[in-house]
Amino acid sequence: MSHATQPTFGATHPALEELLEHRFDPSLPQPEGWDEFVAHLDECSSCRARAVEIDPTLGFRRLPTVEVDASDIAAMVQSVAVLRRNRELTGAQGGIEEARQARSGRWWFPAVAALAVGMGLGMAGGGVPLAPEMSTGGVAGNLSSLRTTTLPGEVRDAASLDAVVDALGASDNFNEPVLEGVENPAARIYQFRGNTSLAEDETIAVAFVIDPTIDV
Amino acid sequence: MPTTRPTLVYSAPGVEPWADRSDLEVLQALARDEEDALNELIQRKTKPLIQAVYRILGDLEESRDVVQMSFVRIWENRTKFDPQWSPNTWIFRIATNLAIDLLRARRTRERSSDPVRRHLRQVADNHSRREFACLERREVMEIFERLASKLTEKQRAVFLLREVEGRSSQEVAEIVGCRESTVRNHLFNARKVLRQELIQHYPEYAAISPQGRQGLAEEGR
Repeated sequence: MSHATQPTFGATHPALEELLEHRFDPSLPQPEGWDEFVAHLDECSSCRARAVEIDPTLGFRRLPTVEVDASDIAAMVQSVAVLRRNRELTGAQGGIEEARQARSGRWWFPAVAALAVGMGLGMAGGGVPLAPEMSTGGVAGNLSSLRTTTLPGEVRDAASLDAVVDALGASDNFNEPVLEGVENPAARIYQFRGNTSLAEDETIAVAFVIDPTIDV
Repeated sequence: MPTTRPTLVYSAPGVEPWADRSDLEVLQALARDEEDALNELIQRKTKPLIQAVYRILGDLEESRDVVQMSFVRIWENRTKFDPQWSPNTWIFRIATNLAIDLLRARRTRERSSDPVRRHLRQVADNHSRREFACLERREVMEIFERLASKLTEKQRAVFLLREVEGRSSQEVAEIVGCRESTVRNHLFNARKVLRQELIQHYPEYAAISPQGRQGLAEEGR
């Protein structure tokens, strides 16, 4: 519908008022030609001004559009893959916050924590180094903001993380972890909220996956 | 004698390229755990999903988070898709529900900071006024964000999907999970609230014609 072939609605076309009547009366059906009419409003500023004067909510058809280019789509492919892997690894079933962390590059945090605990279990024969030394480069190097926690001797020798949790629970700066079950009855996931002695950033949660079947 | 170099074929013989497959076929491949199908779906749906979710949330970064999580949910629920459903409706339903949940959570958080937000809005409102139909799209978004805070999450989603995105009542009903008659009610009430709010907060933009005023009077009865 264009002015080259059609007269301007409202200015020379009395149908404009009639077309809008149903918007004020729910008992009236949507008139024939409505979709063409609103498409015309997107193109024609004079008809749009006239229609918006009668019903201002028509002005909201001009809400902004979002530009999405190939790099946005490539980033989405990558971040969805990261989020999927992260959820598979930690068993997390969280909400949108998880997606934000995956896009902001914080996805590695729970994954590396889980791997570190797995390695600790394997090397110490059941002992649990809660915050192993992470002085190497790469991803682990980024963990330097973590405060190394020295565990009491009796805890270092304990066979389960439960003892670690109990010991840490006695300190002032510690939030009780969430214990989640997983399909493997021998495995457990401890998820610590952020803003604890382990992580200063409250948007970060630390997950420890304890699975004796992991072969590192 | 010149030799012809063979053309590289990236898809296996007998396998249809993704571009030639319908959304339904892509979802069926997804149900068979084909990870490439998820990437194809992301290629196809990222833009329309971000567009729709951005309008519901009014925040681009949050929209990207929601769309990202939507694709993960689609993957996790890939075996639950019924081929009798419309693929697009199913996909948009997942994204819209996540957006509505986020909107609800955000509103709960924002209640505690209402006085500050009111002040910031008053500061932002001290701009010169122009005719509503001629405003920049960004300005229309700012006004909508303010007025739409009076809508319920469902009313807001229905208004945007039906009025702005131009989807049919039937499709909107399937996306938000209600009957078509409920969609019409949500839509009517959303328009009514938006008009009233516009008159209250932006009277200079609500230069409603006699026909409009008569409509409002009838609507209020």
